[in-house]
Amino acid sequence: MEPPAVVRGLVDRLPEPRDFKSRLHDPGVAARLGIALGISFTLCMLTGLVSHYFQQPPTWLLWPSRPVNLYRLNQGVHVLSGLASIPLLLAKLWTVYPKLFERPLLASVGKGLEKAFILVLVGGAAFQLVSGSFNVAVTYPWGFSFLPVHFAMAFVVYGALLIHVGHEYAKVRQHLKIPLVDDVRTGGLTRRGFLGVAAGASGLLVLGTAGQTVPLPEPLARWLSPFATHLPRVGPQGVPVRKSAISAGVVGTAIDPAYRLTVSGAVGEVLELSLDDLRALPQTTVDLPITCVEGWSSTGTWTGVALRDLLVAAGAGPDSSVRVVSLQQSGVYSTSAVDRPHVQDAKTLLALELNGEPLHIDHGFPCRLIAPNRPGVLQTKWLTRVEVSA
Amino acid sequence: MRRLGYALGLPFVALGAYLVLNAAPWPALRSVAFWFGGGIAVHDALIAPLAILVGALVLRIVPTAARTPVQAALIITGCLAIATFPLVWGQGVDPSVPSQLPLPYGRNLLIVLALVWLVAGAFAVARARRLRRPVLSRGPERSVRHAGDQLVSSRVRVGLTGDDPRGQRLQPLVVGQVAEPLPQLGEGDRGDLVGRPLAAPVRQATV
Repeated sequence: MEPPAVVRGLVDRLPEPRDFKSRLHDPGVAARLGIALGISFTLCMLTGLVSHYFQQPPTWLLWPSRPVNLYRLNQGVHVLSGLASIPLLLAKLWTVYPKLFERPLLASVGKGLEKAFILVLVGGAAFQLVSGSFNVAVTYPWGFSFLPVHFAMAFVVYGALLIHVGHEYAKVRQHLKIPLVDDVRTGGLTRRGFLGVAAGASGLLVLGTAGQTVPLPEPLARWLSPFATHLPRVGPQGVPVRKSAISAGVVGTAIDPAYRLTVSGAVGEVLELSLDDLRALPQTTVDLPITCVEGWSSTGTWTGVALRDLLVAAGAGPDSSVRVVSLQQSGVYSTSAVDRPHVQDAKTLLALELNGEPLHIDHGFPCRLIAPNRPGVLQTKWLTRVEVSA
Repeated sequence: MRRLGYALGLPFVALGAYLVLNAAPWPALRSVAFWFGGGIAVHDALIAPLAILVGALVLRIVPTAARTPVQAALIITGCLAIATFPLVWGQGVDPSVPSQLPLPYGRNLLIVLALVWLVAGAFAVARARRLRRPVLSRGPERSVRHAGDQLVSSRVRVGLTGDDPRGQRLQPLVVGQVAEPLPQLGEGDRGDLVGRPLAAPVRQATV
């Protein structure tokens, strides 16, 4: 069946690869950008897996509680390498754009398969970078759940990337041997210049954002981090907040004088502690970061009851693990599991104070969990119960 | 390597597809498909053609001396605008959490871009000065001698022309032989020669 004349006319008018004259549409440029993207996507994939299994550990996996800043580094790398990938991907797609107009579309089954997986790779890569950058901006203009889909799509993208690397490996090796030497007299970007500019755009984004996890003194942080989603020193008591007491719906219950923290389960004695009871227990002070999965972090000085001291007071066994429960009624993060390494770490606190003051309600007043090397969403706030299992 | 690529990659893609279907049951899957295809469509039908259009305009209207810095600044502008769009859009601002998204991102983007263009401008000015220094020849000297479609003389003068502050066209910087035949050139046509590979030897003329 012949396509209608209008369609044929449009197809005839489409450009062909040789119509693209710029020297920047070049396999040597594509090879180098491809390598950079391979590295940044691998970093995203690995750190993403680490973060996922931090938040939802399989039963056989116990994350260590040290080093304190491991998760912070992981998330910083995840978000920044994702951001850095945006200009690199745009540059790469532009470089190979003429290939989009290669005809015939399906020269052979192998070629067709290759192109199909490139389509998957491009769509998936764009999906990951777009959804990730919207997520760090706390914006969800779509009808799916970000976390599981971003996680799932990562496998699609990385698989398509491996297939693409398999196809291009020999070509890339060949092109890397050819130095990029261009005539500079034309006054346009050389191929090297183009690579430099793409790297520069990535670098500007990374530098302009890194201040959200690298602590700088104010007001320097404000000026050196124009794209930071949070500033480490800006927020109640000098620490940023991701979820407020209002949006968690805990304002009434958190300041209720009848508040009690219950320690129950595999304990010698069930404890029901008022805020004054908690304050009367031996207090520990630690410096620990709040590390958001979205890549920002901020270190605070926390004071409260060490979790392991509390368990000793309740007569719990030395190998106990714990589930902490928030006053927050709903939401996946209203409760979290604290496994042995974190339970036994002397730095794991049920914090009552931040930077020398009673916790701000948005930081989890009256009492919150703070532990080393742990995602912020699992540093459960507004604690009401500690459930111990042997 | 192809086989290895498929052997390693296919299980990933299959697992990912399975996880996507599980994570986004219909109608969420429709939204996933929309954003998946949308990225491709927006890039291929909007961003890339726009970039090519702007690139063509740059070749046409930006003087040679400023071309590199203008191209660089345009690329950085596009990349930063796209990457920071979710912040600038500002839909994530929550009045109950003032420490989240605390900065004026639109203004910040403009400041960063202004600095980028300032640096680009400085490069362009420096380059223009460098180009202007060696004044070679003046007057209506022809770059290409030409008869009909036939290039008569292959010995041509190729130059970076900049605009002389006094309004005179500055002529060639480099004299050499063009390595390939040059069809479709008009008399005195310099622009199309720019960037053509020159056969050695090329003499950098200074007068």
